[in-house]
Amino acid sequence: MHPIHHHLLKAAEKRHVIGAITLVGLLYVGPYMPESITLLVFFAVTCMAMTTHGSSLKVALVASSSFLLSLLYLGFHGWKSFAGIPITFREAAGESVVMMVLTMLIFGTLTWIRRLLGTEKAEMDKVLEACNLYAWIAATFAFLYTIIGRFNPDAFRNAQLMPLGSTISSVNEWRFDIHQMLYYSFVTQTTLGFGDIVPVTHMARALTVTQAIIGQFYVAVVLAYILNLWMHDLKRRVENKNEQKSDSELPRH
Amino acid sequence: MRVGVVVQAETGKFMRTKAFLKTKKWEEYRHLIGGIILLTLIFLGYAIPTVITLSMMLFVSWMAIISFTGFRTALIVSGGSFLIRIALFALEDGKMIGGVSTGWMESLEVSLENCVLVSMSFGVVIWIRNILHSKQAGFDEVLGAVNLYIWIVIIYACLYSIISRSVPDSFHLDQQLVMGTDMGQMKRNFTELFYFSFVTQTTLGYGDIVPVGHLARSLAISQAIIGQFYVAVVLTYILNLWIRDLKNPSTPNVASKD
Repeated sequence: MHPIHHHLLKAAEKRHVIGAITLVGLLYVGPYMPESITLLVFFAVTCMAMTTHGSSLKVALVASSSFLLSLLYLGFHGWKSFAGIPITFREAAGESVVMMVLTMLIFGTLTWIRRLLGTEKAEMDKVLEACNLYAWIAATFAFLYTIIGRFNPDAFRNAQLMPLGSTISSVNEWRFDIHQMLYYSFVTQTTLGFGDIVPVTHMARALTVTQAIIGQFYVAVVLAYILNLWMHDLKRRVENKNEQKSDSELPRH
Repeated sequence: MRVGVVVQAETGKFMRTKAFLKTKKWEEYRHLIGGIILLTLIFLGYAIPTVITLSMMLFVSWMAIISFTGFRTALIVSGGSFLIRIALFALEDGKMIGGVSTGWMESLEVSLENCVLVSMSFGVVIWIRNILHSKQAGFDEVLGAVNLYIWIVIIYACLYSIISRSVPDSFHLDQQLVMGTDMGQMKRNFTELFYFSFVTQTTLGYGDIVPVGHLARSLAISQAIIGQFYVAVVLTYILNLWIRDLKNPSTPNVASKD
């Protein structure tokens, strides 16, 4: 086998570690990077995970259709952003990319959860997968919040009592927004709830509440399920080892 | 001729629906249906009047109570609590327990809240007893546990709403964090406190709505404790049963239903 293929396969085995590290890393270095790079990284991570679940063709279809639909929508509204502010074509493309990543995340999360709850045997890899999915759900909600913020700039307010999305008219401001929402999303999903950013509109509140419930029940249901399977597997493996040991010891004596 | 066919088809559909209700097949989906209704209420509750929201919650609670105890008990419990509250309003000349006077629409709302509160509490007690005594669980029971979690939220929302109506200064709203609301505006009372109830039970605690009165504070604390322990005790119990059943498919799930 070609050495590059070998390395790629190795990387595919460790994809959940890579995905989780990338998502958490984005929390740290994301605010210092341009918006486009953050979105690109998100896109890459979603593609990486989703191509392992479904065919590449399906993924490409979902991504491109959501991107084009969003771009068409903005075009038909006379190149105005979701909040009604006039934007350039480049900015419209940026918003469409946000929409595309959101669609991919939602699509991916749904198929992923179904697959995860359908597993019968779990190993360490599955536990990591469950942890990765937790970060993934938080990212999905972060993008949902971002989109809501685009539609209604007054959806969230922060501790300075300023509407969070009040200056989303330029590309540079968007970066600020997504990372704020990523932070807010994690604070909500872990039910920390510092209260430095607070949902104001009903849609934002409903989503927040839903995410908090999902955050609690995910740990209690999905993680507990996977961990239980894993422990079961570990126990069986230890028992098998002991049996083998006693088998190999017998003929010696 | 054509009309006859349509009528026949409609009658057939109706008969099928009736048969479906009679075979109690719907009971297998009741947690799913209830969950969907409650989720819809979370997202659209602000757009419809409080009275309709409360009636839908009542419907959800009935769906579960009927399957546990039967129609008559459900009717007696929720109808009784509703009528007693209305009668109290009539006797007290439209005044709340704290002495705050109300209009007829508000007294209807309070009575409905009372009704939802009593029937849901009744349902929760029966349900949790049922869960902790059950020997088997499928995925539907896990869904039911999620449903039950939202029930507890609704119960507390009703309690908060009733308290804030009788003691008007029970809750403080940060005017800059909450959009154009004052608590005197009774129309939004329930929606706002429903949100507060969720924020408290999931232990989010943003602090945009804060309990101030003594009763409201103690209730909020008790709800936070219940929210944590519910997940740790009831949910874990069901999950354990579910996972055990998954591992040993020899114990059939169907036996308990028949």
